[in-house]
Amino acid sequence: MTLTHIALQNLRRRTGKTVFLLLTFFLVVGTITTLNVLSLGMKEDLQKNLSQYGANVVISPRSEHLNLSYGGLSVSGVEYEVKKLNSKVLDTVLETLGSSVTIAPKVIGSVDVSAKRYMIIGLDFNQELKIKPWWKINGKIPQDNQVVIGSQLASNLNFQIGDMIDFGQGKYPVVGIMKETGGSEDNGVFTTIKTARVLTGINMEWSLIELNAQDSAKTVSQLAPVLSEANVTEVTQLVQGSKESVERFSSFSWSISLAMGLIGALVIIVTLAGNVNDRARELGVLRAIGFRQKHILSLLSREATIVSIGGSILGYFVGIFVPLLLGPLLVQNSIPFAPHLGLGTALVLGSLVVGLAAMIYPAWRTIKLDLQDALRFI
Amino acid sequence: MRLSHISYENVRRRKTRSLLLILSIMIGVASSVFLFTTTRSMEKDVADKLDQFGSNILILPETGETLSFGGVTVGTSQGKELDMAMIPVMKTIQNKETLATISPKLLADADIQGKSALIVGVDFTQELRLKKWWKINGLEKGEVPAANEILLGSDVARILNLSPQQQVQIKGQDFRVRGIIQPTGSIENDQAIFMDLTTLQRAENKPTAISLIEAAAFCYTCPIEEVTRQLREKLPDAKVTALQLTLQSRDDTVQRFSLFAIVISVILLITSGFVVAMSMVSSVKERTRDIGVLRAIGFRKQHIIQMLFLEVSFVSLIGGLIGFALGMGLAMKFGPLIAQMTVQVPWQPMLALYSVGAALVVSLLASIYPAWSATKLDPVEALRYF
Repeated sequence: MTLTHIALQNLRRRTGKTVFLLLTFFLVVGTITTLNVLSLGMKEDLQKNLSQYGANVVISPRSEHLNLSYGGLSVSGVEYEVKKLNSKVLDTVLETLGSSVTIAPKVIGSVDVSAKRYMIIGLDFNQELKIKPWWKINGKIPQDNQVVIGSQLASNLNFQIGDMIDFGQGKYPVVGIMKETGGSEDNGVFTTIKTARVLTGINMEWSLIELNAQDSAKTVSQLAPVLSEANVTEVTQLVQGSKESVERFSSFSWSISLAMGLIGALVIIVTLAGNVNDRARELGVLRAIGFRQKHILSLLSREATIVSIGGSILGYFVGIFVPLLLGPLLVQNSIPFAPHLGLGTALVLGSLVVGLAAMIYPAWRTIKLDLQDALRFI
Repeated sequence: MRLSHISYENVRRRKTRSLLLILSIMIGVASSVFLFTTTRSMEKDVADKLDQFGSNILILPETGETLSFGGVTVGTSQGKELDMAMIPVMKTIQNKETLATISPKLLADADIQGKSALIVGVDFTQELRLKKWWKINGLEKGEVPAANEILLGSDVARILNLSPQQQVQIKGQDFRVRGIIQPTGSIENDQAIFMDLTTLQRAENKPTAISLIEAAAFCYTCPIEEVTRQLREKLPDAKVTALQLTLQSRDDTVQRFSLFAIVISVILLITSGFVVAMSMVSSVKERTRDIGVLRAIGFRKQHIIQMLFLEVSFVSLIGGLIGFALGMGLAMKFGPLIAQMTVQVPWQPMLALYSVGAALVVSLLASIYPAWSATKLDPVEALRYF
């Protein structure tokens, strides 16, 4: 009969207490694993979501003239030739990039009707609405020969859905009004690319191409060499902003994991200390029949090892499965299953160390007591 | 000697036991309170930081519109100008504390090397706080250009062939290029020259004129619609709009954070409930022998359960209160440090009530069954319990 044997029998005899200890480890490790896996999943979800938001790469014509407007205001009425992107640029972009990138090319021009100038923006609504979820259109999305107008324009000219706008070459029905965005969209007339080409007379070229790429830096470095006549730039406000949000989330979940780890260790220490305390009498008996201090400590540490490893492995297994169940409630794309072996190892080792320390220290204090004292202990 | 007396003495006699029980309740309550309050403040902190990342309110003159989209301008009509006096007026709105950054701008054009360029007069301190994503060659973080220094958008630098430290003449004055803003993807910013606001106002001979105001408002406690409505009331001559671009992604992110914080609080609450319940169950179980003795000397079941409940309530009351004080205190003192945030954790006395209540309910619920089954045991059996 070895000490391990005694330890095992001890655990078996006191089933209730053993289950209690196992449950403690199980709960602590299970909770920490669940939270970690959940926060990883949510972080990825956030990252994915933010990277799909807005145009994060812009391809604009390289001009030798400087733009003279800012925030929708202009400093001079001087007109200058607006440079455009060659029609081949879009083909090159399509060739270079796969289908994972949303490409939203635009034709932007103007129409003058009796001293009133309209800004016509032709775009592919399917692509555009994917990357601009803040565009809310009351009414319908325009087909060819139909238009949607910005809120400012609608209220200035008192247009409503169903009215016809006269652009000189013909009348076009307003099928929708875009809700106020606060940006330059509020003064625009939106239509399909084909209609915009007819209205503005821009036959082949593009005014601007906006892209949404998962990895904007990579997309820029892919496109810049092949599009030498255009400016390809990352929209740093969006890119830096989403990076910052994701980093914040990381550090948020990291500090919480840390706090949870500390709390878990405390719970284990309190529980185990209580357990050893109850066994003072038993330890006294063992001493009385001739066990050495060393033996008792080793016996207890075996028990602690069995309980902590058993409980924490169980907790870890449950902890990696719970997020799969909770996932659909919290994130859009369900959390994929991953073993998170590093996390598991760290948690099992951590609970082993905490368990051993929490068991040995009170035991050592107890067995230092005089035998008589120990046996008097109830 | 009443039952309550026995309970109290019991707690006192078994000091270590009671202490451990109080400790486990305390840890449960303290950790829940700490994480709950800290995560709530973190949520606010994140929202505030996101709100300060770029502007979310734009104030323009009522008349005048430019037809430009994504930096492609197709037509213009010049608008009126705003006045610097508007800024103190903005600060008189009811929710003035929500206005984090106000960056007034004056626009002007100038001929430089035969090309006309857009000059944007800005208050550099405010502007750089707003445009946190600007990477500027030649300007260290925390530095602010002086009155005779300018910042160039990347396209301006390319077209005019300028580099940092060079001297440029604008409107008859000499300026030093302090830095070049790396490409931002926004044509407006990449093709503008940024100059100190008062310098430009003096050069233009319009000492109080501004063209537009970009502002960032904290909208965690006060929705942006409310802030813009209040601003509109105070500034009838201007057009105040909320920028949907920044708002929606912010809402999305903040929503995720708060969801995460709720999940954490719930999971932790369940776990600490379990821990407290488990400790209670095991501590009542240990008393089986005591209960046997009491039964043997003639106590009724009802008395014993009453006594146990008193004991449990006493312990959980103390544990709950200390736990709340500890959790709240730690959160207020160290929460901002641990979470690396600027928002302070507020004192929430109502949580004390919830903490003690939760501790009481969980402990009592957890001790009902073991207490009941112990009293039902034959006293002889109970006395054999070891």
